[in-house]
Amino acid sequence: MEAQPFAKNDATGVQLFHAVSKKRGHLPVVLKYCQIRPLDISHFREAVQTHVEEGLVQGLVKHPNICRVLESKFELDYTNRQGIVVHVLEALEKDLGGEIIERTASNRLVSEEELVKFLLQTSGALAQAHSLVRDR
Amino acid sequence: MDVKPANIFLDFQGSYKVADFDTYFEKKATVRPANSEKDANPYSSPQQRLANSAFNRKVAYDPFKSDVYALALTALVYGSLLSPPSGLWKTEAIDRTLEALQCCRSLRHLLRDMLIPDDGTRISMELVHSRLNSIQDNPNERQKIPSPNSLLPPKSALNPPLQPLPSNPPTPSVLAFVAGRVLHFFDSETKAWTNSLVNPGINPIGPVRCLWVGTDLLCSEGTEVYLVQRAEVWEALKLPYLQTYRMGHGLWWFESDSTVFAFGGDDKTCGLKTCEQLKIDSENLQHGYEQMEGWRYVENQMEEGRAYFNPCEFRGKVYLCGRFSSLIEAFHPDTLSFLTLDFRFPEHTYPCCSFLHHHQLVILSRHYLVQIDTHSDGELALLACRQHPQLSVMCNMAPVVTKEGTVYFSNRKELCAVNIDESGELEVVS
Repeated sequence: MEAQPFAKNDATGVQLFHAVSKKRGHLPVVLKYCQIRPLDISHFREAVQTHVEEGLVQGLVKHPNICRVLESKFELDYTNRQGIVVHVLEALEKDLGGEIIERTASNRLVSEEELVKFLLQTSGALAQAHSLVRDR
Repeated sequence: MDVKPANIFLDFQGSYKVADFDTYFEKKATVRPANSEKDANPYSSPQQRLANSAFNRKVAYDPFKSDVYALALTALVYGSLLSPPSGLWKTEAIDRTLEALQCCRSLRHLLRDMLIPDDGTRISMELVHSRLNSIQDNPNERQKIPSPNSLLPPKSALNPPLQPLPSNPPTPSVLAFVAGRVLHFFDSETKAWTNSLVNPGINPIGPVRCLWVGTDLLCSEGTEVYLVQRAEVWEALKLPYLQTYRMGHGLWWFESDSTVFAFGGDDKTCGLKTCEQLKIDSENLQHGYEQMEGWRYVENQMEEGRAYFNPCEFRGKVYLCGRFSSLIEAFHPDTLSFLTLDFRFPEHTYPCCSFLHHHQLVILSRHYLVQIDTHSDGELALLACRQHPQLSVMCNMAPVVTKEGTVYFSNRKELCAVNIDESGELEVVS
């Protein structure tokens, strides 16, 4: 993954890093950073809340099929008059859109077992996330 | 949550992981009014779409049940490898894709339950998960659907061991194809296949039709062009003057009045705005490379970077189809001019092969069979476009020859015979 330049207003970018964890040693992680520029104070507060809660909820759901949020951080950048929310996520290989494109290009159909596996894993993850959000 | 392929990831062990929880903070309420523009994606449920329209701000929908709908659509796209529409899914398109999906009956029923338009009657994610568990735990209950490859004859019947060079070499009346390092010869009269090894140096994915130049063969692989000559074994000789970047990858040959037309294209070079005319002196081919430098380029209508494939000749015209383009073209070798037909396959599928059959140009995509009228001299006319689930069998094959209503398809390993009648009905016979 490559770092994406910030846009003029609110923007989200991702960048791949190798982090050192005391427990797990070298670990490929993704930094997802959300740049928030205040149009007004209410917009700013709402935008910060959105991005912070996203990491909070994702970090709360402990499921093997949910991308883990290892750490979240919010910083105010006074020089550029903006706020930055950074989520440290576990690094993953590729998204399903890329997999579909690859399979289409090479004419590799998805087997029934693979489709059941996909649905089983994602539905389990989403069911747990749903129950957690309902209970909050 | 915004469930779609871009928000589901594969980890390095092959497990699927859900990411991007950016809308979850809004789901504290059981139902919520829609006010987000980002909800308007192709994977939205019908109620979510309704709620997002500018005139229905007061309509509420269940975000959890919408996730169920979006997950089913994502699975449908993944299972069928169909590109999602640029706008919103139509119910008919969903039904057709669901019917064409190769899966067991119980899984299809589950997907249908997940795609119920009404949020209230749609099943919950927890129920989806438990039903999937029962599907996975009881594989014997699944209705076994034959895989596309199982419809083909056994490989041993199609790939006999390589024969030594026969004492009577194939004549130019026999069709020749190269795939991998093997030359395949097909006698359309006896329907007999023979094959021979080619000396190292050529390895097209194939099958690529070869052009007879006297008793030698001309074939291409990528940007390279080879002359295959018969010595003790068939030997491939690279022709450096034909390795021209303007032709791009994949050359397709057509011969008319001792003039060879080579069509090719690739978006990594200059795209395909030209077709090449090449005069071959068959007797002095090895020593007279200079004579082959005289390329003549003809401008065409094909979009830049859109490759031609499978030209077929009929009644003095060459029919061409763009692999990633919506254009179908008829090229007149005499006047060096093109007729064009702008035709886009439904559901964003792309053509995978074309051939002439029953005096019609037939173009196949993964799910559709299109017939083009070749009788009219003034313009190309679309006759019919039919959907066939069996077409996935042939989508990675190339048409080899048509004979008495039967079209033979082959990839580098297998052969498949298909009956196609004039109305476009299709039957896989072997």
